[in-house]
Amino acid sequence: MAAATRTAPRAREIFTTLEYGPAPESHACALAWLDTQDRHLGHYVNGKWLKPEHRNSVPCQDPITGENLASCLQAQAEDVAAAVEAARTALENWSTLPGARRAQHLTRLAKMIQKHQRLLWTLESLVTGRAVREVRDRDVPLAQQLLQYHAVQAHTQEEALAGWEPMGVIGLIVPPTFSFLEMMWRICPALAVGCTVVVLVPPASPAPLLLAQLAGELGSFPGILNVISGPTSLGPVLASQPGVQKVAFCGAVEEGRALRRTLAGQGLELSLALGAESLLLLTEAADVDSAVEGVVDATWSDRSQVFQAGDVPSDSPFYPPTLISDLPPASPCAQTEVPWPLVVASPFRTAKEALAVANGTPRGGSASVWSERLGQALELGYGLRMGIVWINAHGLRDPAVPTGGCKESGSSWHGGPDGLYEYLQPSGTPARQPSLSENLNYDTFGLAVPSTLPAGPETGPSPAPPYGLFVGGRFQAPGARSSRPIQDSHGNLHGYVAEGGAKDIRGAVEAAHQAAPGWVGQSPGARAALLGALAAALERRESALAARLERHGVELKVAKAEVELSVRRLRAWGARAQAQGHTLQVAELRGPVLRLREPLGVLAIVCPDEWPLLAFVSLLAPALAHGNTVVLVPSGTCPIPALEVCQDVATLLPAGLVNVVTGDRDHLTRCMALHQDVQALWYFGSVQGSQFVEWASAGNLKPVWVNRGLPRAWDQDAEGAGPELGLRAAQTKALWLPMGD
Amino acid sequence: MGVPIFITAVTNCCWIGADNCVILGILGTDLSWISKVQVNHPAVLRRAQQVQARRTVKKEWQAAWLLKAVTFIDLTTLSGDDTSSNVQRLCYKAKYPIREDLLKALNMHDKDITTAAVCVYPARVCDAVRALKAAGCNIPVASVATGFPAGQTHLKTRLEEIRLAVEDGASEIDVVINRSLVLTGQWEALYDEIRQFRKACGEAHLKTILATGELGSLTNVYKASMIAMMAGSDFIKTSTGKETVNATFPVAIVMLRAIRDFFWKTGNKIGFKPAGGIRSAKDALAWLSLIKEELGDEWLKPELFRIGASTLLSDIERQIYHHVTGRYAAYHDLPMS
Repeated sequence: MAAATRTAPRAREIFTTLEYGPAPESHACALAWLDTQDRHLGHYVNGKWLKPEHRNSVPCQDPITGENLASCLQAQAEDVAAAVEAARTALENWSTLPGARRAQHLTRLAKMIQKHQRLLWTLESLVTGRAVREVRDRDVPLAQQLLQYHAVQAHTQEEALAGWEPMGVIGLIVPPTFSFLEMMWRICPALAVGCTVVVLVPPASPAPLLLAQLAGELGSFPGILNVISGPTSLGPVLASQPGVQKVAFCGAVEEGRALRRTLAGQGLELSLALGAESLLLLTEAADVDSAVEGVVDATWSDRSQVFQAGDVPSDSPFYPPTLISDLPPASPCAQTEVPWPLVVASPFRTAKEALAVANGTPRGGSASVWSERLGQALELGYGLRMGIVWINAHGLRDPAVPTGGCKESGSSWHGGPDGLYEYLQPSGTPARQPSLSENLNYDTFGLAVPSTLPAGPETGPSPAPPYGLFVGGRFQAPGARSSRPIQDSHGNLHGYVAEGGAKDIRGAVEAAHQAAPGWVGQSPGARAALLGALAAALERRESALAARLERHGVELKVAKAEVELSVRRLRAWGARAQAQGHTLQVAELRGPVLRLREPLGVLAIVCPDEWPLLAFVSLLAPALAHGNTVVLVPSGTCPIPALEVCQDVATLLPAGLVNVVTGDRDHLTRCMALHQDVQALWYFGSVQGSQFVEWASAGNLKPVWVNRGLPRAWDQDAEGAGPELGLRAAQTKALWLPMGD
Repeated sequence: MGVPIFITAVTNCCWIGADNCVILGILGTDLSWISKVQVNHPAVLRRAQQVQARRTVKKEWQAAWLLKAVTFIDLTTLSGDDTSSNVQRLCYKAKYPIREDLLKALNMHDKDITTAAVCVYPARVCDAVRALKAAGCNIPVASVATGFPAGQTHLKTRLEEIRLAVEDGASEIDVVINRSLVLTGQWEALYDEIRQFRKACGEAHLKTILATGELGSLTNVYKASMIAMMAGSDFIKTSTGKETVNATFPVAIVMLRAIRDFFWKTGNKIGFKPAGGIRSAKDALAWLSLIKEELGDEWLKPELFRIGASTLLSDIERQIYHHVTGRYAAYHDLPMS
């Protein structure tokens, strides 16, 4: 904090009042650094300062005194392009280095930070107004720990992450009020696995620039970390640069939603970390005093810039912390995001009610549970739909523990194994293809269903294929009461399938939600047993299925192999589901942190047209094995094998667990993508469909996986049954369990 | 961006207690005050870590705080080789804790800064009373009692020890509790014993040493604190200085929270005395800050806060010397105690 200007009271007076005094810390070091830049900050690109001419600049001010510290250039599109170009050039070398070399480099950066920590903390404190103590005692050590942890991960990468490769150039967008730690959490894993990074920081954020300079001054590998400052509106410009494979955004929910819509169809991955709300569940069995400290910690958490309240003038930038009690969930105030430390307290009567209230919001970030009763604490901890849950603690962080969220808090992760996977893709993933359809009309895509008319008599072997939508465990007539003809490879009518619509999707999602608690409650072993039973049933149905596939032009031998492979997939995922989640060790914590893998909930899947049986099963099996309930749209050209499988599903699996809706794929995709209560969506279809799904997912920010029109080798284990599917079929939750008596 | 939080709290919170009566300022035992207590060890440890680092005082503030800390010290000698001569030396140091010229430089020489008390073994009470009288001051003499430090003697002799110390002129008695009663959960028996100590003290102040290093858990520390206050202690004190673990911040936090709860339930302010292992001026400042944060300024007076220490004073005097002169003092620059 800046030194107070009022006259110091004499020791005599303080002896009586015992008040706290100012604890001034010299900012000379930070000012001297700003002087080296002539108080004029640019961008740091490719190991050099970039200060282009004819750019607007904004002042960087001391928030306490309002004093102008420096002027900061605002980037324009060319500057962004230069930074991405530098990152692309650096990528060629950096991504092909042995992990051990990258580890060495990260360790050197950690040492560099250690050597210049005073400069880092005084600069950060001076510019953000945060207390020196906070930055010095927590942020700076954590930044070094992050580098060291990720250096270890880089070191073991070839062995531990075989089959994965770095994504490429990562664009990182951080919000206007944030600690440089938010950047460190994301660049460390990206750099560790071999990606290079362009960070777009808000104007007037010198600390990230200093970090980039420290990294640049290591000499080797300039260009792996480039920092440009400019408005958030440059985000789409950054994303659209060729070579950028992924954009990681953290910030406000509505900004994230807008970015999701803007980037739909651009062919890059987008991860969002949104909002900063946190939740505390305080039960009657809690250590209330400690819980109150937890509230204070949470109010000053590191998710965002924290303004320290003190005896400062009312026109200062410091918000006083606010407590609102007895605010019912329905109050508009309970649902708005506000920019100041706010605590909202509301009562509950039972643990069940607490869960209902806590899970009844779109937020899914972090929560803490305060209860000394182990059973109750675990019940609440497991029941909360949140990314992180602390038991009897709040706001703990460690590089080894994944931090992230679910629902509208965005499902991106940093730290731990999950943080690494954010910047990895299965080896051999094709590079980004610009596939944007500028003229795709989101309002009308898949809106109307073309009418279908009778197409002649059904021919071919009996029995006739099953008819109807498979919803809630039985075949049902579609709401529209119409059907669509399915032709075989000779153009003859194979049969009719039901024409599903919005109401059928609604029904299927409802049925899936009803089945969800029962299925989640099953042990992985029980789930594996049921998948095994389904596999056995498929085996018995082999000839019928092969015959169906044959009619669609698949050679009998290949058709039989497809059935056989489908059977294997079901069995394999059943077995994999039993080895999930694990315990993480955290250096400074006594007690374990559990990395849980939890189901996404109701997962909608649009199967590809190709491999009508194998792709259907390959997608269904991991989804079920991880505890999801599913609504599937089978292959459009050949949906009958999937319906055939449903006949066995009907007798073997609980009703509502698997729902299969046939019909116009674009229309059904539209219905599912816009459905707010579908928790995740996998789409394998057209380029336009992929773009629509990405755009529509902004509604509830559901995680989506789209193929952007690209085919996938479903018969190859890497693509048809690889770890990527398992990773996408479940979400992580970190459950902190500190111990001690 | 801010940090809205949803705390969800129960309506039937058990914290604000049941119907209790205050009779003549002393409470009856109501075990419901302790039966539902929850203390979370790791959370308290975290708080302890934070509170030590969160606040700092510098310059004049530091000097003033340190002088204030002097007035909280129970200047203590509890050694097997104590004799009248070193007790006398100690008493003069209690009267003149900081060199006069240093106080003058701070314009504090007329504030009559002395330590809060002198604390000795029962057999040395007479020496201390005599020495303090000779020094012309009315600094109270505190005596440890009740089989200090282990408390493993008969109740009868423990009570007699208190009476004798009071007779000799001790106006404050630091008693140790019977740890076995805590460890076996005999809270009512503990209450009864402390009540008897209280009676034996008569007019003298009762400071109850919980010997927290030997109580097994923080929950026990809370319960023992509450029982000691309910039984009429004027102060609760962390430790004898003779256990392997002495005054630590986590234990202090639990005891301070018990004091606060007791105040909220009854309106009575009970004092707190950490003792054992507090040696540096920096430690002393951290303790003052802890009291200020947990209980508030009202507790920052000798009637409600003491620090049991023997070597702390010389370090404080050294810091004051540095503040005034800008030099680090040599060993011989400051008079010994």
